[in-house]
Amino acid sequence: MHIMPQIKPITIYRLAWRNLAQKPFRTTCLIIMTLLFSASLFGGSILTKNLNDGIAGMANRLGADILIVPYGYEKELEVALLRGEPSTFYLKADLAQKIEKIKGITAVSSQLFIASLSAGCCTSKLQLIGFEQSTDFVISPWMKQQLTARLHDNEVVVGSKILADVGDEITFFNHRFRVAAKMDSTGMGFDTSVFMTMDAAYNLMKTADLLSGDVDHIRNYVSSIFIRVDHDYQPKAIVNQIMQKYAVEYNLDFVMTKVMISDIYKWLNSFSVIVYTLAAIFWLLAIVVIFIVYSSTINERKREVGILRILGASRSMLVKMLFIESFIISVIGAIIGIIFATIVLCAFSMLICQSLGLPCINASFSSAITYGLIVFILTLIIAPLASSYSVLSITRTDSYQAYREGE
Amino acid sequence: MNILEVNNVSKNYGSLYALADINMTVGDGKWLSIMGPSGSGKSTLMNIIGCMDKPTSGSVILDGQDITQLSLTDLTVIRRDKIGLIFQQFHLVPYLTALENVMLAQYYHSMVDEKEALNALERVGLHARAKHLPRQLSGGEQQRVCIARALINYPKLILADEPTGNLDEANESLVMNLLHQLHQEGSSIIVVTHSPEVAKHAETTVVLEHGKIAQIIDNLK
Ligand SMILES: Nc1ncnc2c1ncn2[C@@H]1O[C@H](COP(=O)(O)OP(=O)(O)OP(=O)(O)O)[C@@H](O)[C@H]1O
Ligand SMILES: [Mg+2]
Repeated sequence: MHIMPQIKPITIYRLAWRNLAQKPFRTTCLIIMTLLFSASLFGGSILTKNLNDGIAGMANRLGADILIVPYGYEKELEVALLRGEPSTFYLKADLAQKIEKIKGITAVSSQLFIASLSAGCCTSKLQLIGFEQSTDFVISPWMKQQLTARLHDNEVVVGSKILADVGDEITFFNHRFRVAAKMDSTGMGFDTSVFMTMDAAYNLMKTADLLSGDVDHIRNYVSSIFIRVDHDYQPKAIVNQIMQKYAVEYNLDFVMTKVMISDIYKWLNSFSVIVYTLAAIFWLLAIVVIFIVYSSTINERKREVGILRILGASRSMLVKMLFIESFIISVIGAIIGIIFATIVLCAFSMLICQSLGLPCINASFSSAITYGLIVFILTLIIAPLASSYSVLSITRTDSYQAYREGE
Repeated sequence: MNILEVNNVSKNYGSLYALADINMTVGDGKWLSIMGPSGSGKSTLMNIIGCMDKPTSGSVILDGQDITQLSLTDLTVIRRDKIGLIFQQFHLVPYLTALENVMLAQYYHSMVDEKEALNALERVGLHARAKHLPRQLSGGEQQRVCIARALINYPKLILADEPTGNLDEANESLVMNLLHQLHQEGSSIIVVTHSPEVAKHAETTVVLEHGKIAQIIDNLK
């Protein structure tokens, strides 16, 4: 009986694998080349998809066409809306009643923004938003389950990322609130916002001493007015009308959501162009590098393949073996690249979206699989394609020549 | 019965005649040495007999079959089924262990049998080195692995092109002993060598000069 450890039988796959394993540096470099492509394409396209879905979701449900803010606060509002970076600004409230009458405007609803102090529930500052329940058309599309009753002044609706559930209590500026409902994920700043009645918001402002004067005085202010425009009217024309009548008196600025969203789409387009260009470059680069590496070892490989030929391997066996070898490189590169990109995305996707200041929705499992498959197939092509010239020329000469040339 | 018949074989590269009208026969179970100066065509002849090259003209009958008419693919099959090859340069696959190199010959021939491969290594005294890569073996050891690989499929004909060219005396006699064993077991053997000592092990020595047979020596006399 031999006490030799079990030796795996020789197969064409094993021969290919052993060859790769014997040249770890070369193999690693080739794998890294393919991995750069698979990781960049998979990561980039999923990120693009996340952003696209986030923006599409926002565009679909953001019912407002025009947002009015105090002059100079246009950016603050966009940032608060998209990123949830808390801010506080004021506008005289009576404007809302005045513009309601303008033809073409179908809905008007005001909101009051308050940047909270750090609350017990949350590590960072939150955006507290007072909204008008009777006129609201901005928040309600995102509600997971509709409120059965009107929101009381001691109740709040929380964004999807707020770590509180229905029934929990949260305290802001010493006021205690019960969580009455939780919103759907919006991918926007709403996810980290807390919504309450206007009255509750005014009371908070008073307590926090954000505006001087009594509550009745504070009631004269809101932060932003959300306007929905009839389909037959141009938001631009409506904005012009408001401008002419009230811009001077109220010192206004406007955010047109369609413009904002199409700007984001434009940006996203150039982002995806960069992603795909980069991936294409990596793809070509991998092919070129692998082609060069393989070509530079043709003579060395001819000798080695010549031995196999002399031992009785047919040409087709050798071609198969060499292609399996490059296939293994591609497969490993594809798998590691996709896994690597997945890990990076899981860890940083939200952070990336946040730092880009854009809404983001995590891609569904099925679309991740689809993208993964496409990337996998594109990566699979790389090494076999890049090595095909070498493989054919390594195996072309008959064994005798291979043996002589290797001498 | 002859294992090999070489009839009017010529091989030319352009105007250069590497082999010119060679005629010879090797009887079943015989041992033949081929000697001659460098460039006299010894390796060319071995490559033709070993199904790795084709003559320009003439025929080679190996074990009753005319191999000059066969395609490269068929030659590959004949080579792996009937011939065991030993080279001066140790043609081992660099990324496979000694044992795997032996098993490789089995793989292309028929079926991989690890036990048998280990036995072959044992015969050449390298059982303990089975797991070593070629570069971890000395020249003599590599040559012995080549022999183990050549004998693993019980070839009818063993072709050895300067099998001891790179070896010291001790290793040379080890290799020659192995060839003797194979010879005794019935294999026919053709050895190309520059060494008269090595050549003497054969029953017959053929001397080539300028691609022609210059002399045939009967070593038994
Ligand atoms: N592929 C080839 N192309 C051109 N000439 C060749 C080729 N192969 C061999 N020759 C020539 O054929 C002649 C015989 O070569 P061969 O290798 O058979 O010599 P040899 O007897 O084995 O010599 P050595 O003892 O040095 O090994 C030499 O002159 C060599 O240059
Ligand atoms: Mg020679």
